[in-house]
Amino acid sequence: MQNSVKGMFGSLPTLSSLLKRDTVNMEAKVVKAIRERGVGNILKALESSLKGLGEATIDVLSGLSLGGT
Amino acid sequence: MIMGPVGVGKTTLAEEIANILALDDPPYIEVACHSHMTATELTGDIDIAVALQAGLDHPLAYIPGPLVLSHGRLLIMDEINRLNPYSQASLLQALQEHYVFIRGFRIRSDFLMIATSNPAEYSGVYELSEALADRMKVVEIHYPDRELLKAILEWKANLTLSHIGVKVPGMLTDVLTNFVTLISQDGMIEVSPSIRASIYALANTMARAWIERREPTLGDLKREVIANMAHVIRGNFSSETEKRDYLTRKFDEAVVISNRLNRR
Repeated sequence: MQNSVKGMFGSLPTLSSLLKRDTVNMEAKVVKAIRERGVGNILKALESSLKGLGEATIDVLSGLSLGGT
Repeated sequence: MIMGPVGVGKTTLAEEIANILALDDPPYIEVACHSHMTATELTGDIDIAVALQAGLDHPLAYIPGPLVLSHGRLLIMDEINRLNPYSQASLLQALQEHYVFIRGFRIRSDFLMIATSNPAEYSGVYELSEALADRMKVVEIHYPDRELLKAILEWKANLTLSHIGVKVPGMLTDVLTNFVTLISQDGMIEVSPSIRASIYALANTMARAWIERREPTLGDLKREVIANMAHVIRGNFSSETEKRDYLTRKFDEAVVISNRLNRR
């Protein structure tokens, strides 16, 4: 029990580490992920759990690639 | 912001996109927004007692909130229109400045947000502040057309029932599709039956028949539909009885339409 609690503490960030965070370029990260996976593959993967939402998916992906929310 | 009626797959779409993009591990942080959510629930706060005893840098002195934990990830704000104006303000600040302010400390947080929202006509929702709404691209999801709805109902209900080993008869899916289409096209209805509620009604009809070791009937589906959907749909009804009568009438109409289509 003591070990697992210690483990839990270890996974929590400290305030000093949070204050030293670097900037992350989220738009670039999204664009890289879309390029690596390919829009066709993303849509295909989505079709396995959702049907008929291809247009909405493209809208969301395009918004994310521009950093829009 | 993904906007659409209840149960059309808004949250699933947001989660699936986040999972597929897999920007980090975990790929997203999700917040189920509610009207009593405080700004500190979103930002996290310093526990003064822990900070005094163990120091500010103790891991429990500051428990980060979702706005801080989303750094480098996607933040899914589910049903953002339930968020009160105070919490909206703290979200807006993080989105605009990329910093979260905690009692004088400034923590960097870069994230992208996918929000989901019901249209404004749903009750119990706040209007989004102009500044927050202005930062969001709205993606609307509408009710699927008849053919797509039928395919979704059949697919999802059979998936739900796969461990039982029964399949939904085409006639039941047909009638339910016609029923939902009839209601969603009716101008007096403000909130139509959700796809999710329709899938449950279909699956419950099958499960009940399976437990009783018999074939499902239209009567079973009718009972399930009325019991489930009387609580879901909203419209200009003066009483619950009137609403149930309306649902019964529409179900019977849907059966007639299905019979007519099948005869062709």
